[in-house]
Amino acid sequence: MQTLKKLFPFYLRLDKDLNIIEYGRSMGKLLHENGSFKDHFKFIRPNFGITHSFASIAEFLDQFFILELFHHPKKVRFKGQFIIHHEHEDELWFCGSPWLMSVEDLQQHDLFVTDFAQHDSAIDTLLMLNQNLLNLQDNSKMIADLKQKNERLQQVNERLDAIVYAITHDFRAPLLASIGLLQLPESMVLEELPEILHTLKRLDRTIIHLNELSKNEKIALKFSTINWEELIRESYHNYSVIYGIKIPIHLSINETTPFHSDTFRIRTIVNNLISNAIKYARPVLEETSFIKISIHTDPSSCIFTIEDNGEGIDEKNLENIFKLFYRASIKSQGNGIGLYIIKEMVQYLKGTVTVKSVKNEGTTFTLKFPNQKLE
Amino acid sequence: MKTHFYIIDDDELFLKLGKMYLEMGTCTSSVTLFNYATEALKAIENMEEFLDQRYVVFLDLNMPILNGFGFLEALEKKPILLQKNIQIYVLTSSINHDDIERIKQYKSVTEYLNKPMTREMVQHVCAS
Amino acid sequence: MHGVVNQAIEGLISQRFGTEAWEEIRIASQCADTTFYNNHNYSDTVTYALVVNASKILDMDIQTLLFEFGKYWVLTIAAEKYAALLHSAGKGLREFLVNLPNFHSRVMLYYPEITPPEFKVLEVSDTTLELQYFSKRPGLHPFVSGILEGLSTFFETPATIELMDTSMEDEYHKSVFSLHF
Repeated sequence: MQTLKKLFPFYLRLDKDLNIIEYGRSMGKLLHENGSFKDHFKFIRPNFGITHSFASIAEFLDQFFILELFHHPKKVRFKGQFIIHHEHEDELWFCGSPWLMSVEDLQQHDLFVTDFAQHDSAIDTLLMLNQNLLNLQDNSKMIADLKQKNERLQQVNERLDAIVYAITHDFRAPLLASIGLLQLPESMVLEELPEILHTLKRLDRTIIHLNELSKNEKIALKFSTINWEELIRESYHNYSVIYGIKIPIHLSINETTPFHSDTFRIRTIVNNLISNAIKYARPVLEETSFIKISIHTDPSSCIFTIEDNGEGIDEKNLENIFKLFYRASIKSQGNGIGLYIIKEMVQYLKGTVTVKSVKNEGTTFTLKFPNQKLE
Repeated sequence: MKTHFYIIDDDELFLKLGKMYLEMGTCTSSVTLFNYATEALKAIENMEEFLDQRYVVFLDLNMPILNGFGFLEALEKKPILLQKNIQIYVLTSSINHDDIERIKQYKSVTEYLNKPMTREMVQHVCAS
Repeated sequence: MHGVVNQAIEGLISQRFGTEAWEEIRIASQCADTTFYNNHNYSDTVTYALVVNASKILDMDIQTLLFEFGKYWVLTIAAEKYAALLHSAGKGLREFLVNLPNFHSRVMLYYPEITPPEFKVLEVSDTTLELQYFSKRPGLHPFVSGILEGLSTFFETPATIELMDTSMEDEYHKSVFSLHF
């Protein structure tokens, strides 16, 4: 008897009239008095053909029971079986434990793991439920994570498609032009050689641009002091030579503290801006053409403005100019990559870029960069 | 038959190239160049036709503002234009599968040709 | 190391020092995972790297960090995911700790692949308990101190927790804590 009591701390001991003689220590946390079994418990399962009598229960000794302690404010249920004690054949023992649906239920009934027998899997079932909840949480996280990765992948794919399309068109165009020119009758070919050279150089610049674009994502940020004067003069000189025109440039630098940022990207951005300013100058203006650059640095940021009085950009195209491979006019000798690069790099530096322009009057780009701290 | 040629292409170089090759051709009556498909559309609307003369358009696909497809859409929307004796050859550097398939839907297109223009191409067009 | 441990590290750093600091530490530790799952096992090297780099970048000594991670784990992660479970193991800290070795064995049923620590609890007197912690991994006792501190708050049982001794027993790193209620 002692053994049974130890193994089933929620036991019920009933006499021939189904009075509760005794109950287990743990059952005592839920049931607070003896009395008739019928007054406290009702059968949930089996629920058919059973009555509150010794004889009736005795017929169901090979079945499992679910009892409900309906007296209890929270209506606890128990799962177990009835046996007739071999030494006390006029006694029915209920051996089982609370049937709970969640670990919170334990708390609610003021029950603890120690109230259950060590062998009892009821607790383990609850622990497993908890595990499942955590697994579900993991699954949700995984799904969210995958969704995000999918979106990124789609973006990369779209970019790849755009690049392949552009390659087969934009890259072929200069090559086909050169092929076409070279297939002209000999006498004409010689005349066209400078043109062929120019076209192939253009192709090379497009490829270099594309490479710069891919480098943006791969080269880590490295901050150092930006020497604006040197950077701009060098860029201006290079592009004046490339395009063969010298446009008057005015530079105004106002720095209360030095500007720190990533040199590679700042240089690429400046190159693209100055290149555009020179490329799209209006030849009709001759010496009245200008490029005005002004720089303002304070401890938190640097504002860079470049203004020209060149061809300008049509208002309806303004919102599209930063898109990859977008060319606003047929005069776009570019490949639609330069402004995209500027935008990507500015974003990488956590800065902003805006543009104002009037067709046939000029364009102003305003860029703002955060001023970084050096290590 | 005397043929009036129109070349629609945003690339100056191809316009120039096309003109050179066409002027070497045997059936060329005139060559008109258009940077913008919009302008070409206007010109075609306004032109007078002579029944004994032929009009051939070389159309690039990839152009800013109004591209080749846009031009064909606009053209096919105006049935009067289709009655005119115009043959349209798409002349493009695009070898993109989707572009090629898409062009097949336009009844006004005679043939899909790949750049660059060649002497053989001019002969072929003159002969058709 | 079980995912929830790394979650505590990420959670504490993000909460107290910001997500940028966490990103920096994560990248420095060459940890490719941007999210830690409850029931996944991660390599110990990553966890150690995270702690070492956090110590460097946040300029805090490792012991203090581990202690804070332990406390955070109980008061934030465990309180959110295992509250009822912890309460079911005992009423108050003392009871919880006495039941701990048994309870811990039971919980380990669900994690057959992991290398769990072992516990031994001795009731020295009415007001003092001795907790012996055995781990195959070195240097984690400040983490356990933090957890005990957190549990004291969680169970609203004030206690003085002291590390008495550390040593080796077989292949285990043994730490002995004394708790005075």
